[in-house]
Amino acid sequence: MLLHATAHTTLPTASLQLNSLLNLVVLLPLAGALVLGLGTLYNAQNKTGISERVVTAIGCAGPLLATVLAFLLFLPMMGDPSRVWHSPLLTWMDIGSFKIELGLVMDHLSGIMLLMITFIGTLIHLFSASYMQGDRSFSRYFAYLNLFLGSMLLLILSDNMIGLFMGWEGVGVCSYLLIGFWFEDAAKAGAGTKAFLLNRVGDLGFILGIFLLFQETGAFDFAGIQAHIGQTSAERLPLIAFLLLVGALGKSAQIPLHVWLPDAMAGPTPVSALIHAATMVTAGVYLVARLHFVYTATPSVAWLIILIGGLTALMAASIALVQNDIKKVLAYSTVSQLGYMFMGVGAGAYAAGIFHVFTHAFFKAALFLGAGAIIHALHHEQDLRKMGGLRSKLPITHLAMLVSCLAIAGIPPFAGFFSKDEILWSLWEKGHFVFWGMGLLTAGLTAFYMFRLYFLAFGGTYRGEHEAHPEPLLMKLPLGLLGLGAVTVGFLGMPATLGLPNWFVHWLAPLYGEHHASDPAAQGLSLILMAASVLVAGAGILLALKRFGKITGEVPALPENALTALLNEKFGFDSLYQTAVVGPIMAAGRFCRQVAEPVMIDGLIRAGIWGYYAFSLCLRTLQFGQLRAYAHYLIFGLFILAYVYFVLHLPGVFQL
Amino acid sequence: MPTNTFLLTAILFLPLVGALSLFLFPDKGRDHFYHKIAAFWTGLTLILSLFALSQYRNLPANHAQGLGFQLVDQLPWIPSMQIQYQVGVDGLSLPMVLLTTLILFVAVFASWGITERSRTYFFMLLIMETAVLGVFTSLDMFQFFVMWELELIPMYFLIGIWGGPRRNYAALKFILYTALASAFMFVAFLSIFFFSQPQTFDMIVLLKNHNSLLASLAPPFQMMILVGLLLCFCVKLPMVPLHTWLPDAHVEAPTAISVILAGVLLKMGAYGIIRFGFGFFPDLIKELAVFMAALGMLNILYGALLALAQTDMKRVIAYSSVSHMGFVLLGLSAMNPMGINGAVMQMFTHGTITALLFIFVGIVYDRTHTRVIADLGGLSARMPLASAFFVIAALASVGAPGMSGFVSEFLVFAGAYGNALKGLPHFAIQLFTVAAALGIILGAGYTLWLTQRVFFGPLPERWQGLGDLNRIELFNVVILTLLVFVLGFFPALIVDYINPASEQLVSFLPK
Repeated sequence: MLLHATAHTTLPTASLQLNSLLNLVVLLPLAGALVLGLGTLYNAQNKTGISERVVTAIGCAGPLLATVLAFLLFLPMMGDPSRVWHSPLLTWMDIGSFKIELGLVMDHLSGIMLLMITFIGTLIHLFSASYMQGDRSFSRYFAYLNLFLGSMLLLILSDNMIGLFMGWEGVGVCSYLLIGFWFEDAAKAGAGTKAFLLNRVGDLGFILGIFLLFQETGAFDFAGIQAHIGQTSAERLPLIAFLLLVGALGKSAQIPLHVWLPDAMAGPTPVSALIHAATMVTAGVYLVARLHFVYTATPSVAWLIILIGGLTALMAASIALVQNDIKKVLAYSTVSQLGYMFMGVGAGAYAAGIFHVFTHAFFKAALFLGAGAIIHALHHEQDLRKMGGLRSKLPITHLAMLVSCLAIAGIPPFAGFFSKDEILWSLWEKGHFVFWGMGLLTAGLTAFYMFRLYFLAFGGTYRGEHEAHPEPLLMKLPLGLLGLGAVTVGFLGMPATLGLPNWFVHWLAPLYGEHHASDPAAQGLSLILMAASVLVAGAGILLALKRFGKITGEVPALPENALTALLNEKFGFDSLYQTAVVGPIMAAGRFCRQVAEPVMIDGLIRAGIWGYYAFSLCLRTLQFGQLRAYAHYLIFGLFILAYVYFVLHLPGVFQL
Repeated sequence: MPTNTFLLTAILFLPLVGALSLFLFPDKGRDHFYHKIAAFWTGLTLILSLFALSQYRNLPANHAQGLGFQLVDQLPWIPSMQIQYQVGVDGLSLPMVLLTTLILFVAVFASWGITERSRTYFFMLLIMETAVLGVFTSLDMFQFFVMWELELIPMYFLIGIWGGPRRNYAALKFILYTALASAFMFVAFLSIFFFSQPQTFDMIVLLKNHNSLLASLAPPFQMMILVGLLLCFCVKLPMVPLHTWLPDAHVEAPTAISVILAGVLLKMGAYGIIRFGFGFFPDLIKELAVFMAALGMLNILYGALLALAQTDMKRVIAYSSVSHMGFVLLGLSAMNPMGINGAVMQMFTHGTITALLFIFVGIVYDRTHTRVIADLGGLSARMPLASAFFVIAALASVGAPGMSGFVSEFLVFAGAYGNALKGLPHFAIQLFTVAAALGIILGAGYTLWLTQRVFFGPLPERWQGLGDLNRIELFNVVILTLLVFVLGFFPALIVDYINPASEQLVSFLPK
């Protein structure tokens, strides 16, 4: 009955087929990054550097070719479901006692992620070419963007923990560089550092998990780990699962490591679309899905994942209610949706979780790029209160954002409805009724705040000062395609409980198995649950329409009470970390600098030197130049020597 | 076994010849005259050491064939005392020789700003190169000791003459710490000579007979001698709490000397621990593994905390050095090939990365004449190239993937976590490893915070006139950066050399 009862535990290795094109998928964006990076250094030295046109061509070529390759590799997999591509990328070291190889593998999970990342990544590159036009650091931007994509592809395609970790750290580094892209602004540079540090906290858990897993299974590659996972001790496995989870929490911005993501909005808006919609933040979900055999064997940690996911989803959705910055709303909505995905994978519905990753990537990328188009049109205005009436000014953006809002709110037949419902259904089916309730509540809040955003931006009349200019073609194209995705990709995973074909679950069946049985009772129940979630979402939209649908004047201020104060404070995580973690560490550092170092160490040594000096002064007073005193010392010494001689050589001579 | 090709001997004495050659040419006020001569000799030494690398045959660890020393040159020196001139390299010392010749070459270019008494300066620098190479290649204890002591003298003058305002204090502190520590080494070497069979200073013979060293002494005395020996090396490493000479020396030393100090001299301590501690006393050193791990953790965390709290840019890097050398101790405590490989690779990568960071401190100081972090900021606006390379160096120092620091830290942690001990010590070292891993968060904290405060943010009015890297600085920076990337992607290039030596050291250890 459970999804996993029928799951294959290992991939049939016979179907592994060598294809070095896979290397190119990773290496092409990296090569682009290298060329553009050198170009940027060249630009820094020479005032007249390579033109934006050339940069755009180089920057977009890598992702575009990678996308084409990804499709070329994917098509044969569709024809022959047992086919899995693999390719050795690099042998790190091979020395007797251990061998570390970095290989790539494109199986059904990484294949679907690969398609999504390259496709959306390419669209974001195209959009960026227009968005970043005229920026002083145009080539640096594309170098980072390519490097980011390359790292992300390494993360997804690696067949082992080390390659995954390299990609994992790589996207962390790139997010640091991209979030702090406009580093002349100290706050933005600080946001980059903050993101990197919080990710590092996660990485700490992650890397310890890798070591422990290596110690238990003796393998770094996933196939080896999966083969030996049965032999691990029952006490160690939950610990491993937990440590790896810490890494996932950091990357996917879940409680308690979520605080970096909203600050990360300091980066250019297309970056937010890339990092916070399609790629980096989904890495945590991907990790759990990739190591599903670990989490299936540790139900307690899996339950913890649901709990964290549920709390994060609800918390972030509630904070999003009070945000006025269009990007902040989307940032918290991302955190919230990631919570959904965690609930999904935590409940063992890995296919459902990955499906939500997939659909979310489309509509969230559309939302972020839409926000980017608005910000671009309004001369870098991000405050929702100064927007409004943009429906006629930005028609394509409006359309893409409308369908994306409908998708994220979970209105059928848009993409988010199917994936979100799949997760809610699995929660109910596995008996997590409380978490189902949390998910449902979150769905209502999501519908409300997304349509608040929609109505504030597009409804009513324009309230800003700047004259909006229309979106250029390079922005319309990605927006249109992503909007189309937000409408259509949901049909890939129609609910199997209603007897409809669920291609997505079927596609991932080699990893997670599939259950076919759809008895009439389940059918009825699932229809009722669906109706409930659609009703809740609809209520949220209607409420938003009522309050924000037709605002012509000032946007009404929020009521000031304890709840909004708490939400404005974002539940106090930032200040808690400042006082409970950063403060004490800095205090310890200052203590070391001001007390431990000069007083306890150098002071002690200095005291020793002074003691030595004092001792030698004492000795000096013995030698005051009187010959008679020296004769006394001489005789005294002679007696001692004689005594020692007798004791050693004539034992018993002093015993009478 | 001695092949007497005199290749290593040539490498060893070339800088000395170069130092003497400086006096052949009178200074006629030509532009950077002695700089160029020094660059020539260090460059020649570098090329020769690369040639030595090509002559070195990388055999897999084969215990039957004995020790892996190659390119051995042997000449009688003081036969009555069984003292001889003997040099040779194995997988442990070869990377250090290359590091030394590279860093010294780079250091000459980092000294381009030295105008005062440049002849004496480069004389000292070249003598020091011979001494340091001597430490890494000597296969005779007496010769090793002579070279070890020889290194102190030029360093003392280099800090004491060309240093900052408190140079006398720093130079004296440096020499007192190191000379006092050498006394322990001297005592230990003499005890090894007198209480071991056969009585010799020949390190190859001693390494082969490591089981019978000090056999005529009671175990507690053996341990005392080992601890004394290690103490000497730990001062050099430097190990907390014997480290306080280092930040003072760094802050006062001129840029190039800081580069050498962090890049090469600290590695002498780590090298000594491995060569003598592991090579001579494998049975005893394994008993000290837990302490090494604990002290390594202390180094990492204490150094990182101090680096966080500094207000001087150079002190941040100096304390990061303390922190990063803790990884070497931690890796060694693993007592398995992975950990030792990681430790030796960390020595190499730390040498390159920290040298890079110190070069940047020098670059910033040359232009602004301040190292106080609070006075700096926004420099990237005027120095885009410098800040780009600094960010790369900072990320390398933090252990970002694709750079060499990632590999060595990974090996150290993986090795120490799966350490070769049993029972309680095993778990203790694991615990220390976990605690030490906190250092990677703190490390990211102080490094990126420093980057942010120095290079990012708005540019103050008074730094509007700063210029970017000149060609010489760019040359230095590019060499080291390339090396960091190459070893990050192809760590096998270096690990293949280190591993046979590590495997051999581990094979000595008691099971």
